[in-house]
Amino acid sequence: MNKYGKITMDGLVTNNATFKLVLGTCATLGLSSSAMNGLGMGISVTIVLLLSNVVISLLRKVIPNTVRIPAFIVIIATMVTLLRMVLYKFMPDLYDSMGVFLPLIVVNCMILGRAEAFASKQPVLDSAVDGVATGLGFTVALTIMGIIREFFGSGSFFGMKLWDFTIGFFTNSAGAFFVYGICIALFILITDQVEKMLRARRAKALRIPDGLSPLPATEEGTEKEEA
Amino acid sequence: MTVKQFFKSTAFKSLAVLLSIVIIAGGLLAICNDLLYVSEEEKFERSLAKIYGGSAKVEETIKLTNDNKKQGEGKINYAYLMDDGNYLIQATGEGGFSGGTATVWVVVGCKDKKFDGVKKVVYETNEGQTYISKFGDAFYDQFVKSASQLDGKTFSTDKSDKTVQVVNAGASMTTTAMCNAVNAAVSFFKTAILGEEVVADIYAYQKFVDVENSTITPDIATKTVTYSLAMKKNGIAPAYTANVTVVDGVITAFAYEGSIATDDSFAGKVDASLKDGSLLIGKNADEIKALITEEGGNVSMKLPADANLTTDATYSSMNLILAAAFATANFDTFLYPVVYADWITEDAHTVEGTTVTYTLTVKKNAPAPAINVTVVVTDGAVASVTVGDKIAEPDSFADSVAAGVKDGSFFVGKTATDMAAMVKEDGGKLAAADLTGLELTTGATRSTESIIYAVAYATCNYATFLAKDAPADNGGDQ
Amino acid sequence: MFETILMIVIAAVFSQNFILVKFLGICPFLGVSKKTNSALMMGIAVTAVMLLATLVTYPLYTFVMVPLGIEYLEIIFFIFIIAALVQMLEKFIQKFSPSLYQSMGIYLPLITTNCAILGVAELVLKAEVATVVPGVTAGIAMNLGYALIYALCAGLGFTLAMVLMGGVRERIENLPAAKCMKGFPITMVVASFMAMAFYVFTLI
Repeated sequence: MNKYGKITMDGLVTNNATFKLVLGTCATLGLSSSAMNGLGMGISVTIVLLLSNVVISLLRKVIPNTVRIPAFIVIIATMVTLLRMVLYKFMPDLYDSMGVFLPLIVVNCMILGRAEAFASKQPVLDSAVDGVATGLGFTVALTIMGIIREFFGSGSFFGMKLWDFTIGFFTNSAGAFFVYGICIALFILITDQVEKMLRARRAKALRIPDGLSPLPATEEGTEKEEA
Repeated sequence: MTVKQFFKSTAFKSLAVLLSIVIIAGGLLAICNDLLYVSEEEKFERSLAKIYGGSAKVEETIKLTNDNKKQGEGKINYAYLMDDGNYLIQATGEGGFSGGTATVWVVVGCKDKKFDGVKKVVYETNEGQTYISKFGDAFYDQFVKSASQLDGKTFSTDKSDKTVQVVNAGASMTTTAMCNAVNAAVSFFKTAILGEEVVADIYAYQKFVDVENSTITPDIATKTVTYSLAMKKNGIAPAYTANVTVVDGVITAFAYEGSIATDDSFAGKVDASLKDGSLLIGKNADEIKALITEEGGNVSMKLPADANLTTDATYSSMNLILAAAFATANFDTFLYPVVYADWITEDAHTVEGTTVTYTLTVKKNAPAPAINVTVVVTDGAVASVTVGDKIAEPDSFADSVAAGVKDGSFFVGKTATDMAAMVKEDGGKLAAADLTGLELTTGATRSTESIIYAVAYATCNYATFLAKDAPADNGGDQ
Repeated sequence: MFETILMIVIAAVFSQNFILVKFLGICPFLGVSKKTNSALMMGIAVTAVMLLATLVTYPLYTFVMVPLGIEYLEIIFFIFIIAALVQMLEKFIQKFSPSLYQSMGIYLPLITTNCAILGVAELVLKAEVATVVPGVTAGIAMNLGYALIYALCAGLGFTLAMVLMGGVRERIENLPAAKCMKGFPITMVVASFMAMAFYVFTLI
């Protein structure tokens, strides 16, 4: 696997911001009431992430270490403001449905996190790939949750009405927390299984007997970032 | 630390970098803000589009005046002509809970300059309506009706009409306010935008009688009008036919056909004096009117104590009295029908022997103004016609009117038959005068028409007015 | 007036609870709610900063930024004001009450990127109270007084949810749970049940 492939894999799955690192939770819970909202929020965050990563990576040698956090925040806030203007001008419906969560992209710890951990140390192209991958990981997660909540909560798929049967629980806040919790649990379950399988295959290839390989770190390894 | 040292220090570098980032970011945002500026107009159209559904553009903002703002029990706040030809009107309805109001947006359909029903109703705001949360889409959809469904009807929660269902037992007042708002919007559209005059009932008590399906036979010689009235449904009382004969304004015979109540037991409760008509026979218009109370469009009974009527069949009893009321109140109108009245706004005529002198004002017939015409008809033929000074707008057009028309010489000697041949009838209204045989220069056609209408009115109603006013002239014979 | 204030209080604390209904400030909710005591301290710190931030941002936006036509800079301005306020508060507490700083100081730096603070500052910029607090009679204009009451109550609602969650988590942390459900997933499910309880308040 080459370098970019690894960065992509990292952002999309292994260090998925939503399900693995549990970052940007506010937006995840607030904007996953429908698949379209989730997708819109995800793409918005991806764009901000890409732009801020590129700019910060470009300026990484200019910005002194002592003022890097304020500088990052200004850059991110500028990108969010730009995005806000563009959305308000061209997609007012999405702008309205995102409401207060749009300016709150600024304090989405995922973006500052990537700026601090990756973009401020890596070259531009790597940072751009990382931004897109992380953003897409977030987008996919939000869209999946959106599809689930929309399917049960309003009986539709991306706004297309499927039937009249609805469960109100999924549209309100309790449903958001519940679906999020279950999704994280499923994600951990699946990645664990896949990792076990991979290890088993590798172990076989290396002719190391099963069971001797150390178990993958799971929930203990999950970073509990606070913002 | 010297100045030189300061400029080389990390502190300065940090500050300089941070400041320049902030300035560049600010500048970039300022430029983008200008580029992506959303104008007030655009914002407004967006908010309208949300109400209207889809992308809607305002074609024209309708000016509201103090005269057309107030419509019935409601008032108009905004009115717009949209680019698809429909009208978007915001109206506030009065008469809500605790004197409050309800404001809604109404999309009034307009097709070929005609009312095309209510297309959409969207709630906007309210004042003091505590049950507003009970009103959902299903409620507002009740207002969506085609023109034919609404034909002359207004929205009300009235039980007999049931055009609108009350959402919740406690929300009937709010529903009334909503109905008033929608009615105001529709009425604004019809009167202020289409310029339709509110079609007033021609006859007294007309709303209770299906005049088109009734047979009304006047006989001037015996001063008798014989009615076979198709009475409309009145509340729970069914439609029926009333046969009434009125001679010289007084009922001489009263009978009915068909059932007057939903079942026989109710019919039995209607007093015998009403059923055989004895309570009504011998009474004139005023005496019948005394049996009825009218309050703000609602009609209720005020029967004498001796009539011994049970309250159980109020609607049925009422419907019988209404037939008598219609027959007596419109006696004169049917016995002496006035024709070609549509174009005349004022008519002061005097009858002397066989001469009727009319002082008429003809309705404005754009571009011709309202014209004053005095016509004298003797023995059925025109004796003289005097036309007022103002006959065209601007005055210079008056020169285009033929001299014979202006001084009236053209009309002298013409009879009702001659004049009737000169005007065309179109749906009961005078539409255009047949001006062949008149030496005319174009340019004042409307003014000429107006004068012809006045003369036609005078000659064709000559006989009627003569017959009607003749008794009064010789002291009256009542 | 009184009715409006009452509506704001009920909405901000219960029916429109910042954490459980509006999803603002979830990160500290998940991160700092492991113990009741720390949850309470975090809640108080957030409430204080919310109140202060609104006190500065609302007049700044209404009386300076709008007349100057620079509303578009609101995000940058607000985030810096909040960061500066947090710094000042931290220094202030450190100087005047070292014991308080000991118990609360460590939470302060975390607050800068707490979306609940920026959320309040952005929410109260609406022209009418009714857009922020559903149920208030339409037409009442927002002012600094209402904004501050809203900020205070939003902070109280935040603290309430934090403390409740802290109490629950102290107990569930040691319970046996399926491996994949441990940590965040079980916390989310617990939060879901709490949200259900708070949902009842929206029916008032």
